[in-house]
Amino acid sequence: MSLIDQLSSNQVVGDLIDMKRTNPLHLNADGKQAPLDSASGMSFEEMIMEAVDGVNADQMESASLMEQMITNPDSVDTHDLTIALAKADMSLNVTKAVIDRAVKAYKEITSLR
Amino acid sequence: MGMFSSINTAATGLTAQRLRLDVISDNIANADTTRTADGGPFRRSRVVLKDQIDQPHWKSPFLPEGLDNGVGRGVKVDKIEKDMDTELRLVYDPSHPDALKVGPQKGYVQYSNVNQVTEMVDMISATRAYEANVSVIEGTKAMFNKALEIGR
Repeated sequence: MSLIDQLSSNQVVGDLIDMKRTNPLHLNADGKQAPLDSASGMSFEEMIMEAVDGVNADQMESASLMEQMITNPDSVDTHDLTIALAKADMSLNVTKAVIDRAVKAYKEITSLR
Repeated sequence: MGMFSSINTAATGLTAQRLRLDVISDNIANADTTRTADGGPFRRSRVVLKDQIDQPHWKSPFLPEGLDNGVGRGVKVDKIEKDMDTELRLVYDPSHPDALKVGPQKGYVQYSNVNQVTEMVDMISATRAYEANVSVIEGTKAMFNKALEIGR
């Protein structure tokens, strides 16, 4: 990834590029100190939904590759299919782990007394 | 680096080794070919592999981190080239339709420069390299599953 790819459109004005702020004491473009932009301005729910979308994309990819493997075996490499299956399995496992932990935390709280 | 970066890197290796095996099988199949569209006997092909990252590697405390290529992203096939260096195989067979008609090598047939032994060794090498990449993927999966077990 080159430097240009890492810039988002709101960092560039004309041919000026904002300097990267790594400390809240750094002045921003207006000459003011401001809290750093958090890595994600998303809520927990949005984050979970985006992650689930990613997991779903992995599942769809493996399913379409499997379909392609059956209908037209020459057009797809065996390892591409097995890797897609492994990726789908791994991302589903991590989702399951996260949800299990969240439910566990909820149960811990409901059983307070 | 994403969750699957090492798997994606190993996948480029798998694809490259598959292509190497395809080229080797073409070479072995054409070992006795005396005619090609380019004229002359078949020349063995060889695969030239290349790093996925095209830009040169910059690393210095004075340069922005964005220029740092970081960890590589695998291998890609640069080109498949014809081996014009290895000598052709000459066999004396005046009755062959492609036998040379004139010159000091009159009566000889030029066969391809494919050496079966070399191709077999290349095939073993490609197979082993494929297995190595598969092992990398298995190792990544094992690490991932172990990581999910933390604190269970």
